[in-house]
Amino acid sequence: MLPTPTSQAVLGRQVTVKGEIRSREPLTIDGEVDGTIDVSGHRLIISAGGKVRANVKATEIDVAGSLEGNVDGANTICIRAGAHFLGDIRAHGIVIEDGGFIKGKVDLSQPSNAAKAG
Amino acid sequence: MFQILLAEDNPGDVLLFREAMKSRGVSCNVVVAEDGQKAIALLENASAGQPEFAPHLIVLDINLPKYNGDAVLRHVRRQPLFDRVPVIVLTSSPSPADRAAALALGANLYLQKSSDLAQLLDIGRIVETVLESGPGAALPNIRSDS
Repeated sequence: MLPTPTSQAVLGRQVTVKGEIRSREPLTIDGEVDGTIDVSGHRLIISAGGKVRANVKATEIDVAGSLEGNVDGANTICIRAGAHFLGDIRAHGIVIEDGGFIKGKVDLSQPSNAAKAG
Repeated sequence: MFQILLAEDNPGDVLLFREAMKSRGVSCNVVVAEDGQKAIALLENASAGQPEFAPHLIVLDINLPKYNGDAVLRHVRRQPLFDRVPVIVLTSSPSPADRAAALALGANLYLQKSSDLAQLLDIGRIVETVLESGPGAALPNIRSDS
């Protein structure tokens, strides 16, 4: 679990971004993104109204909205109830809540979090 | 054929899991342990060099009789043979504490059972992709295509 952040970027509900997003602090997306997202080392939150079409890199990913793209190498990803995920996941730990929709490949060949921690 | 250990004490859920696999056409042998003790015994037999059954995938309920799912998970991750075998926790518990504990103990996927039948059967699709992506690498010597 990542420590509680001291700062956090928020992409607002009325904001649409096309292109590459790189953030060196936790990022919450309430709006729309079409491109790529790199939040390596930090947490990415796609809130209930958020719509993302992008390949994503982040240490922790919390999806309550819509994500279309691939996730590779995350520590944990949580697909919340009502979330819509279309793409392939490669992560150490994955949570899918009741009502969370996921369509794509789920690759669990990476070591679990416990194995990773040694 | 893939070998799956399903630790589940609810016969209805066992039936649904088998049906989910069947509906996806997954070629697998599902061995059911009705409690945690039986699950651990099966794994210990495999570890002791008697791999009549050595799973490519382990699916665990949390609330099992005798030893709960967390205890089974601890056991799994202590055995070098099973260290990299994918573990799916399949549970009705929505508790954040349960999911955090399961992931910390080494579960790869925490899948909350749905109250919706179609979603329950959809578990087969997720398990199918897991089997395709991981277990061959985890236990290359015991995969059987027969």
